[in-house]
Amino acid sequence: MAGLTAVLCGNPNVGKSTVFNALTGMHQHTGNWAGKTVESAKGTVHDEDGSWTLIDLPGAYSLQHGSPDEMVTADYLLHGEYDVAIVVCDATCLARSMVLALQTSDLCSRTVVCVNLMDEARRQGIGIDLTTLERELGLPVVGISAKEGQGIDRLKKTVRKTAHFPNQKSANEERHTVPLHQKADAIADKCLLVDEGNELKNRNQRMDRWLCSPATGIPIMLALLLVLFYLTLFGANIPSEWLSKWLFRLEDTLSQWFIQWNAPEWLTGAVVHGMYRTLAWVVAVMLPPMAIFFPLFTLLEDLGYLPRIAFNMDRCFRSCHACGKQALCMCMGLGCNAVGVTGCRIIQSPRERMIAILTNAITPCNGRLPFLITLISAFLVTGGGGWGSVLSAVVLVGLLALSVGMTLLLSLGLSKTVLRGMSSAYVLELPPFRAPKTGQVILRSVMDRTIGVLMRAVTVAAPAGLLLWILGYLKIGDTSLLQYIAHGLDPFGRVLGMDGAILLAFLLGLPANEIVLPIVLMIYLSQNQLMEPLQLMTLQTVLKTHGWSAGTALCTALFSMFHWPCGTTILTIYKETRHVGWTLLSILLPTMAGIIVCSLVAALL
Amino acid sequence: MKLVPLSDLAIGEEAAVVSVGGSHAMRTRLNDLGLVEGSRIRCMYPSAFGDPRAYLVRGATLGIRNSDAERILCRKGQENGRTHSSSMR
Repeated sequence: MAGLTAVLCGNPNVGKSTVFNALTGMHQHTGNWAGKTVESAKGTVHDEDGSWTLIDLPGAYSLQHGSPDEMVTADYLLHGEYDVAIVVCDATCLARSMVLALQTSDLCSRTVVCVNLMDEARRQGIGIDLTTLERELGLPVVGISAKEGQGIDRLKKTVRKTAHFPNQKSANEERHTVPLHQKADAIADKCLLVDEGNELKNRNQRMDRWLCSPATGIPIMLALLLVLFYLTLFGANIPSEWLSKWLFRLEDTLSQWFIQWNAPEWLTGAVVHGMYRTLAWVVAVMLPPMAIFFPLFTLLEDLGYLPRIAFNMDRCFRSCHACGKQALCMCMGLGCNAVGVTGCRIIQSPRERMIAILTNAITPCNGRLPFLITLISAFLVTGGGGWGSVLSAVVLVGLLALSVGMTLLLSLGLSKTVLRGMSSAYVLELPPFRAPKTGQVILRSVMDRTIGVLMRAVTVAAPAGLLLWILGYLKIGDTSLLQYIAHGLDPFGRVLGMDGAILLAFLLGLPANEIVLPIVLMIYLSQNQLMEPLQLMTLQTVLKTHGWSAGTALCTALFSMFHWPCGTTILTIYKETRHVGWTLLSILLPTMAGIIVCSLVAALL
Repeated sequence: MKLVPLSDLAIGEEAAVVSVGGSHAMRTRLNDLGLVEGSRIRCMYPSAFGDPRAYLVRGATLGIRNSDAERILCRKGQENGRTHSSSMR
């Protein structure tokens, strides 16, 4: 039988995507997090009799009202072309899932009810009588554990069999919510056997008490983030060095080729020392931290810890008329602002999502953190031995706290002006802790996140590298154009407590914040290409001879946190908002904040 | 027995939901998540700043802000004491 099409629907966070992957053999990433699947996917299922098509619909609690996701699902179930509807239910939360099952069977008589997470329910002391459930619903019921692949074959067979049933799409009879819920409750009650004293459930609850208590909740969150940073920044050093050595060796080879082809000197310079070198630099410094940060972050996501952050931080954000989930976007922003901006999709209210997008660049990303650390250890905290590193860490935490404060302040400012409004209806689901998914799925999510960001970085880095090279190459008299501009920017830089060279480096550092310091050195040392990283002592000497003081370092650190987003992030913001005005505001907002903060600090010092 | 707002429940206390108030969007969302008139509910633990708090409804844990919980009225007591599948009425 050819052309069989089935649709997959279910409540958010019931493992719908895992079922989809198990049926189709695809590796779409799923998070332990309601609303993770934003776009619907299509796949092919192979079974003994051939293959059929499976469409994954957005998660929905009910079909009567509500979110855009639910409208898409309801609309497809009513008007779409399909043969069988599969409703994925959560065995640990059966009564709630029954609502959607009942509504779906109203629209499509060929409905298969698939009760997922059977093994997890068993561990939590919940038994489900599937035969009774089948009789009560009058629909075929299959119990599965999609993560372990249990029951998938039976599900495939049941879908095949159900496709032969006659289909009567009944009229969409409007039912009041409460009787529907009562019917769902009654059905679930008849099939459930609950063991209240279950050990796992109690352990889950004990864990939550630690993770969310007033005394330990915030310290645990900070400690986890600190470990995440430490592993990212120090773990990335080795692969970064290896990668840059390899990429720069390739640069030598490239430039030799150019010489062999008798290419003019300016062409070699522009292509190899300009475009290629900047590109290689960005890749070498950006790729390793991201490839470490995001798997670790995905691990926390799969465990179910992230909604607890939103739960704990909600109070702070609500007082600024924003949403607690913004805290999660900021955590992602610590890895990469572009990913943080994309992550804002988890916020349902368009107003609150826009606030989160516009303020994300305030959170210093992996590209800026090492720069901040260098500035702190070269100028702000010098000497002190063992206490020195503790003090450095304290200063870094202080700067991060400042960025959180600024984010909250700007969020409040936005919701009092252009994005006026109150906090939206906010009920946060706290899913049970679950063992993380398999390596392959995590790998896939990392690849998607990392490669996507990297590709966008590359499109910005190459032209910027070319511009940088031209500015360093073209000379007026004895001075390169680069130094000429730096000189011109000097008065403005001084107002901000910096100088023209630093300001120009920030401007030219648009493709990636990682190249700001190399550009500063390139200008100071009159080079026409990016400079290799220097030893800390040498760096200190070079900067000091060019008039740097602790105040300069402080203002540079502040401006590094509060200035325009990097090119990749700007592109992502445009992609997410599809609006030039908002994108411009996302550039202006942090820049204005930086100008105000830096000129205040410069005036006070 | 007297009706009390959900926000008055102490940690570990159980109740039956009698009426769900608040904006239309809020009621819809709460209904979707399984909190309807008649549901059994138990206050589990507060968040780090004490607001929102977590409640157990039909086997799911929900974080609800105190300002929203004030608009949900319930009747305290254990009755047949099952918050997993609400077996009220």
